[in-house]
Amino acid sequence: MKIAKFLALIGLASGLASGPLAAKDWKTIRIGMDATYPPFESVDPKGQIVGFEVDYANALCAKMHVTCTYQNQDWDGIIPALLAGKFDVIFSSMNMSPARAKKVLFSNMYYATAPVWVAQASNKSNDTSLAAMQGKLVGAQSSTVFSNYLEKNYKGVEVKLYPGGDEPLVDLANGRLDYVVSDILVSERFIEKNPGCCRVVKTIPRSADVFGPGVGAAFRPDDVQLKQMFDKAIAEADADGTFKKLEAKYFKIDIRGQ
Amino acid sequence: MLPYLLGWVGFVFNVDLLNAWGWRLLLGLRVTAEVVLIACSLGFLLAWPLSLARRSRNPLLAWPVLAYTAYFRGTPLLCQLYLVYYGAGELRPALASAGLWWFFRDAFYCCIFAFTLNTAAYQSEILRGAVLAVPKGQLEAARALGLSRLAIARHVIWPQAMLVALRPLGNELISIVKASALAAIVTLMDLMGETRLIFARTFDFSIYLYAAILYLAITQAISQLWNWLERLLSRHLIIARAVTAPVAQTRARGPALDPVSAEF
Repeated sequence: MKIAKFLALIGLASGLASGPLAAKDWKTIRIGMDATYPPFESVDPKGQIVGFEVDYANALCAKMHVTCTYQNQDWDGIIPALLAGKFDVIFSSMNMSPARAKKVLFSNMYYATAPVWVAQASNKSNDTSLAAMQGKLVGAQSSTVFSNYLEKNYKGVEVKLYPGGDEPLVDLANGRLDYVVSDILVSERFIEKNPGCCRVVKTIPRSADVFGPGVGAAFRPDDVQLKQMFDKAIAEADADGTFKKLEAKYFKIDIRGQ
Repeated sequence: MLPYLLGWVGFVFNVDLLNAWGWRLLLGLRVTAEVVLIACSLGFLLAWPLSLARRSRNPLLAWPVLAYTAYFRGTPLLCQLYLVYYGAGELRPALASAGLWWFFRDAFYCCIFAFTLNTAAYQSEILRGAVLAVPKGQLEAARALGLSRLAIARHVIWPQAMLVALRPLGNELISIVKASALAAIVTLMDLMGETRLIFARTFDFSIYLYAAILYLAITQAISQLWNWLERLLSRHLIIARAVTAPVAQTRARGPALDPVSAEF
């Protein structure tokens, strides 16, 4: 009986705790990022997280009149960390795949770029069919839409999974991998920094079941109010040209192209 | 009350999860076992000559080994692993022309290489300490009997030294089992790699619990095996122990007269 009372007490306490939380007045928002993904987010030599999504998130935070802090988080654990309350938003080039949408709440899309096949520069073949991949070593960052794409469509091909977004490209450049599946802008930036190492073979069509409609911010399922704040800020940043200005600062192309 | 408790136990020990993904854990377990067994065996083979060189009076032999053990015992294994894995990547043209690239291309071999060098450093120090722990009188007595240097080493020093080294070597094996979880970071799908993958798919933390149970099972098995080995190797001491009972009983776990095991 004592235990039942104790449990009732816990229920009561959590009810009390979640009551005020639902109408939370957001003053500071903690943003989680996996900063291994330049030019979107990476750690600079001073230890600061920098990149397009940091500038863009700062612009959104200014529009929401909140202070934003940034935390670096391993990609593999980024959704559990969000759900466990280590931070409030994932703002880290997360594609809104159906599998993730079951766990988190997504904002509206703020960019969508093409997934691509990348090969070593010496590899002149443009064939990326399942048959052509037999006996090849393909790399991708783990727990991404890219690794899911490979797992779904390239069964039986050996896939190497890396914790960070830049590591598969490093291993492609040094010849450990034959192919990498990654984002077009991340790959092109890497090739720019390592000229002659690799080349983009072709883009991959964004199938809805694996890739989803594009990249969005992710929230805990009950933070509906926070999502609405972000959606409003995203719309404002579109309307007043803030997004276009930041896009032009970092990229040569329209990153909502796909 | 009882259904509530059972529900909670079911939540922690998710049987469906194990049904769906357990086979992947076992695949990972196999890779972990391979890496640890190969690296520790090779490490042991290397450790022996290294410990001899370390005790040599010739500084050309002793100093490089001193530098080697200082480096591998004084830097993080993760750092060593990255240095081998990504360092080899940078040195690809040189390695390819030396015909070694096939070896360093493979994450499995890179892990074996890094773990072997690391454990060899520790094991050589364990062996060195064990040899130094053999009482000097033993050596003098053997010399007085006119035994050759080889015979002294084979029949007097090493049998006693191995007994001293046994437990710290077991500790080293256990610490390599635990350290092998680092292999997941350089794409090797060992037990930890598979666990992370399953967690990323299912977001179910209890998979870490299963991984922990498997690691614990390995380390406990090693521990038991070592107890048995120790009894086997110290059979001749049982009578001696009985005679010098007061001393022997304070060290009931056998001849744990090892100066190096305190490190672990």
